[in-house]
Amino acid sequence: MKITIIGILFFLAACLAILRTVKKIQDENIGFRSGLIWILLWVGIGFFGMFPNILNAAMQFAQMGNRVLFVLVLAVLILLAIVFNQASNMENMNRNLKKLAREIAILNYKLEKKNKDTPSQDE
Amino acid sequence: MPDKKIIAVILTAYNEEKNLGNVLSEMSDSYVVYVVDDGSHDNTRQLATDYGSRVVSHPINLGQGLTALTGYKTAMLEGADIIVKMDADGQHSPAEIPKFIEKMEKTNSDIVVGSRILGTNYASAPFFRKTFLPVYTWLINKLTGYQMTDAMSGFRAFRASSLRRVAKVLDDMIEPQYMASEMFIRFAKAGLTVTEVPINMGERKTGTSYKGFIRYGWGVLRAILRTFLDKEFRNTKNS
Repeated sequence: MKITIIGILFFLAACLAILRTVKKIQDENIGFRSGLIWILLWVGIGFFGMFPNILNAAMQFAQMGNRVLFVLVLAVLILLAIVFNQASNMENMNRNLKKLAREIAILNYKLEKKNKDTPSQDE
Repeated sequence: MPDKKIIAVILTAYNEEKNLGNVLSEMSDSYVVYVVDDGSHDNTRQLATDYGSRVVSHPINLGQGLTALTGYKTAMLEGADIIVKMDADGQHSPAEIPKFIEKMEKTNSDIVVGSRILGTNYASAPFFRKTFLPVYTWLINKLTGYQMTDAMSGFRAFRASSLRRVAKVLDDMIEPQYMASEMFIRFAKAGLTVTEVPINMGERKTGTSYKGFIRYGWGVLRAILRTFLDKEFRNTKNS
């Protein structure tokens, strides 16, 4: 199987992306689960970038004549899945944020009331 | 002599410094008034404090539904017996509160809704309200089995003990911004009873309402759909 310069560049870029993702997991900037998904994605990109001919079998299975089109469709599907996942995470975060804001409001109210009811030391 | 009931009045307010003073000045001293400030940028909070109200402030703007829920929760924590919720924009009159209490006592119902349709000045209501309100209400009645004439009214009274029974329901609301529809569907399942009293809706003294009717309609439909899709709701048995 012939390896092209473009293939090697793809591989190097994927390696860099994997290292970056591992660093982000270590720094806890992303969760372990989503980090793992990203690593798998980069591995796939690096592998198919280096050995694009392997895609031919998948292309035939999907009945697509053009390798570029196949990769694009695959990329769009993966992006949609990521966007869906992010949207549902954001909705969840938004809900938790609102709950937290309400709890803070009630706690502040209780605290202010307590401060008002307790006579200060100076008096 | 029976113990005097604690009546909590919840006013939800967002940038209402121009209207709030009028409403608070009409409020009877026998009520415990809570102003829930929904992250206002104006003088709403200070004004409410000056009038001696108990002020709960959201650090950010969360919308009217959640603001009302914060008010209910605070009033329940402080031992209210009856919780009345009204708007702070001057459209609801504090003079009508005794009607709610009387009706609740007489009918022993859990919720009393102020019906604008039964009020004497409904003929002068805006076109969109007159067109869509009966449709929304019909839909809610069909889904709940209640027989209301105005399911979307923001002027309501709750028996606090009944609200405490469904406190978890209130916390789990999915679309509190359009809470009327979701709330009634969940309350009907919990077996709470509803009656109505006629109310007269005043015009806003100043400022603008933050609700559009089409957007509101879409919100109501979305709330209904999401409530029925909610797994926890579907798994709850009817009372």
